Amino acid sequence: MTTGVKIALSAFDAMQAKDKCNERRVLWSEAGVAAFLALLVIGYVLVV
Amino acid sequence: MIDSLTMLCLCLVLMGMTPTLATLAQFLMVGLHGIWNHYPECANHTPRVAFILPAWNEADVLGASIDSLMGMDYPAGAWRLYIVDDASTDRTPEVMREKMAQYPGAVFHLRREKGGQGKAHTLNHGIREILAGNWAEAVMIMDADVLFEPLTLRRMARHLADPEVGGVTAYVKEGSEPSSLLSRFIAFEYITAQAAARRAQNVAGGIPCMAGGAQLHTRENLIAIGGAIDTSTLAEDTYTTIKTQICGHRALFDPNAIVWAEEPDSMVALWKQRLRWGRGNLQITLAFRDLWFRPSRSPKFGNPAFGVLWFSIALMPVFMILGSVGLIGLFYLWPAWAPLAFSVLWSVTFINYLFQTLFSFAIDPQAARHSWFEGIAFPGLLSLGVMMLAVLGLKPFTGSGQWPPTGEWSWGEIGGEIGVLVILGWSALSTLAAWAVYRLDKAGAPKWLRDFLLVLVGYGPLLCAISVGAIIGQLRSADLKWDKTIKSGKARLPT
Repeated sequence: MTTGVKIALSAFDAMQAKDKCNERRVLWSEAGVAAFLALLVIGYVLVV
Repeated sequence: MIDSLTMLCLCLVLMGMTPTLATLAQFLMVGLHGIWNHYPECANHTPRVAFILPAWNEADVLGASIDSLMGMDYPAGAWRLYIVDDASTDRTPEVMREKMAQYPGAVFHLRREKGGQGKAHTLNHGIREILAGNWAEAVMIMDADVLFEPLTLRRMARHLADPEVGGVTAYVKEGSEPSSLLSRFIAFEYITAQAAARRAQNVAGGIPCMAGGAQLHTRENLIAIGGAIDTSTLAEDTYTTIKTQICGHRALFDPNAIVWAEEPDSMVALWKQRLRWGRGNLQITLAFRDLWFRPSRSPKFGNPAFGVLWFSIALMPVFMILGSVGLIGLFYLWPAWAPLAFSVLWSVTFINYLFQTLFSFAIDPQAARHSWFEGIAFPGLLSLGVMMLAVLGLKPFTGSGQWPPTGEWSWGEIGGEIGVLVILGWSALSTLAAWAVYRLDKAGAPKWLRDFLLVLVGYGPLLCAISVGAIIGQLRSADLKWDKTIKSGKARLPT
């Protein structure tokens, strides 16, 4: 199914690594936003 | 003692929260894509790809699309572009002649002499031609205005190394230059509806829609789904996606494979486009009615969680109206509980709004830089005001300081009660207000007025108003006309 022409493996690996890194960044961003909001809610409950 | 009517009102309030809770649950799964994704199964795979580009009077955008495809980083000779000209009456055939001369052997012109039947029919003309030969190993279905980034095809094709995968879609971003308030609202919407939601759907194991602007199918998958695109609904991309997964193949979203498209720049054009999508989704709901909430028939689409999410989005305005009715019913039947129910419903909405907005900014910082204001104003400044009332426990409409108003009736208190009712019913009324803004725009109101009112009322309520239009159109069995969105060639690849 695959045609013979390929890019250098390192270029493909670099693309893969970049995309995996971006997905990990999204994961940690979610953790950060969730933690921030959790603190906000706890603070709100304590104050109100 | 709670009587049955009060209990009904409480249930309606809970139902009003369903879309909020369902989308919040979906958003909570987004980050897991960092752990559970398809990248480990990918390989440096470059199948021969036939692009099918349906075109009807696309002279303004076709040249740029073809040029952007020619700039792709993909092995020469491993892809071809088939433009299916749906009997265009503009300069499309001339543009085609120019491009075929400019890129010999890579661009092909398939012309239908009788057109106007819609995108699915046009695509099928191309698919038949391509499947008749044996050159193509994969087929990319796209729109004429879509611009590909250089590595997008590679990013999509790598997933096809896994024989279980039948189709892959890309992240379609709004790319109009210069941008407008409406295009920036759409840009933000696409972060939430695509970059976020489809990551979560990848994690959950099934996506309901591969974007029609960039759908890459294996040849085997196209044959498995019948060798043609369904023509019975207005949402042919969703139908194809669900069918792909019912036939046993996986459908995936690659958030790092990006294409750029021009989206509607007027509320009238947006209404027309989204009405088609909304009605299409309702037709899909009917077409696959045997699957919903029946895991034994389809583990993916019969999953109750998927069903709740699907229906809470397809019927979102219905849930919002029910929530408002529940709150107003409580106000009269069990006044002591109305403020609490109001506070819970809108506070949860506020937390969901904060989470989705902040997280969306983090998911796509590039898009957020241009559309941060639209992200903040997405539900409308008035809805944000109602959220503040709930969160901060403010009671501005009662002269007595009590809620609901007590004591003797006066004009002030009647005004106060009406104010309270407007606030309690705002989730439903905002939809009505958004419809009024659309009608104003349609009547030719100045752009500044339309933009001001849209920020006030919100883009989210506008989408709900369009959903109401879709539901009414479907119930009335209004004409199923495939109404094309006119594109002017404003989309640009980022430099």
